[in-house]
Amino acid sequence: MVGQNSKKTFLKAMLYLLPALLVVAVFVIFPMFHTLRMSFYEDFNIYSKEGSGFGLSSYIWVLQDPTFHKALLNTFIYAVVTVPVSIVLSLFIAILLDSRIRGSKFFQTAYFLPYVTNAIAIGLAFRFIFHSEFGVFNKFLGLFGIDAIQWLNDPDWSMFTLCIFGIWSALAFKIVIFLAGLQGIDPQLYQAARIDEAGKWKQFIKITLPQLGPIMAYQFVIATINAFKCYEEVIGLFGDDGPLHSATTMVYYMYDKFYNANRYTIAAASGVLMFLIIMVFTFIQLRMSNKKAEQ
Amino acid sequence: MDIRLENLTKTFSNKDKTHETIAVNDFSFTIKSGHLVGLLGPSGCGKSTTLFLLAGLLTPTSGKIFFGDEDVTALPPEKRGIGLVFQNYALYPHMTVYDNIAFPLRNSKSFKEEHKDAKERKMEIDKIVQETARIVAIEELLDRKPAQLSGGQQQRVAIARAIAKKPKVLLLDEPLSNLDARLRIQTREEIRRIQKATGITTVFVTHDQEEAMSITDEIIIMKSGVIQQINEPQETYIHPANVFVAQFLGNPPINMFPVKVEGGHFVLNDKRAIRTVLPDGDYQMGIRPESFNLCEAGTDESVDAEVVFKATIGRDSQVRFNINGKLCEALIESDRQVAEGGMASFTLKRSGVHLFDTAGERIELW
Repeated sequence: MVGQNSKKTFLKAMLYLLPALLVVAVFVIFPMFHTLRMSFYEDFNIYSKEGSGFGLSSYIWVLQDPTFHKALLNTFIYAVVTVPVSIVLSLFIAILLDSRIRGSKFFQTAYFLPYVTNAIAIGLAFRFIFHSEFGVFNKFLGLFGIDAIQWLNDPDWSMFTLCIFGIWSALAFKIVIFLAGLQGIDPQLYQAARIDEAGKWKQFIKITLPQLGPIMAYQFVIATINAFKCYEEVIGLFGDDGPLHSATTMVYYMYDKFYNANRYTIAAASGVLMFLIIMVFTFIQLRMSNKKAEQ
Repeated sequence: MDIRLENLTKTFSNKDKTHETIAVNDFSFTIKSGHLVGLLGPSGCGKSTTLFLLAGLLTPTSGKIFFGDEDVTALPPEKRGIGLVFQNYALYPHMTVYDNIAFPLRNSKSFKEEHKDAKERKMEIDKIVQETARIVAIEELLDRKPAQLSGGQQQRVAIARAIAKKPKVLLLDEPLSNLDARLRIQTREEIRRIQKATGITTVFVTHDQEEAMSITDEIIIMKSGVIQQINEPQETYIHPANVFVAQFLGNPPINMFPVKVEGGHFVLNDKRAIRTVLPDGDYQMGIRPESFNLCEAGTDESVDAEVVFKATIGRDSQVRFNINGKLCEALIESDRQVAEGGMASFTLKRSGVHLFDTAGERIELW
């Protein structure tokens, strides 16, 4: 039946798909190729869509720009710190929430709130928390006799502050995913493990973790991609890229070059570079998790 | 290792604690060391609850459990030294068969103390896993994952895991319910063989009477959380303690109908049929289907009935007729002449006739 009217079914399918395809083409595929094209020019007029100086000069410029190096390094630090820490923390919280403690329903909602709240709004709230004079955080540290830290104004601390904020805001989504994963594990496996004399820790290592394997791989890939795309957090927390550009990231660099410096080809080239980096990392991660699954 | 239950009770209450269900009601019995005991009853009778109480996965509301002389009521499952085979096996899906069987050994503290050297322990575990795998005949499956096994193989892995650590008590929760008919018979023989070979005191939960009858040393029959009878399978069949037990055991089921005694005779189909020493009054009578014998009309102590259905299956004929208003079924030899719609007379084997009072309790002497 499918084979008989393949032309007709194709047209019918297209009719359903066309609106979505159109949107994707205009807002995703065209910009993608447009960015790629733009990145190979030395100069580009975004109104006439004409460029001059075709070649790799933009790439060379970006790769030699110390600010880009700083952005690259910061992004890597941000990813390497926030991804593992937020995954470990969210798994820990998810297990607590799953263990039917009093009010766990309330906490499940409470932990999910950051996910549905605007990052800029949360950033503003964090500005108050981290404020060097009036911030709650410094007041709290003061109780232990620790001197006030310039969380937002000291270039040496800004990445640290950004990472704390990043970890916190990444928790909500991960907790929800982990909770779903935990609830999908057959409770009889834990009963069997108890009979087999496995303690709580052993149950976690030998049953919970392996059973969460696929979800863990998913979390790592998504979290890494999101960490590489870190930008809202920077703006939300500092309003710009931190004191002396100390908290600049790859996406912030791209934004800055496009909107503030009007260097469109530079922005495009850095965007393509970022795309390649994320692709390579995702590829490596998927290969690693696939290999593990095969074992 | 004897298992002794003393006044064991388990109640479940609903969320608002307004309603309580008594799943296990005041159990007291002893299971002798090395015996294979079946917990038998319809679903919801509390047999699995009893098993989980023995395992320690549930805590009793009141009462005590002893393994030998040791009171284990308050001990968590990991300290009871038991093996448990779950209804759906609960094998660890991410481990190989080998690791599944080795898992309890690797965790066992007592095993660790017996074999202090890590290398020696590893070799000892390997030896036990191989040996256990041989007992349940899965040696060639050790490298596989549970998902790559058939139901019967998974079940044997579950048994191997349960017996590898040489438990004091082996508990089986409807272990055959997921198997097809052939495999079920084969595996239940296997369970019996393994149990005999290892001599582990075993409790076996099932709702299938044939399963329980064929492999157990003793059957405990339960209904709505109350023990009905504890005895050897054949004894239970021959001397059912009450109407429930009589009806629960036997396939086809026993024929049960109300009966009156008049002047030293039971009245069957308005005719004084069988002699009795019981005083006049109302009773319940149960007759096993295999206890009917065809006879000439007018024979002493015979029952007359009109045959409403007849089917011949192999060497037996299935005959249905009404006695005192209840449809009864008899199994008779197929070469006997009976026709649908015709009258037939039966004499009864006294051993297959059971008498109960109106409350359902057995009357031994009639």
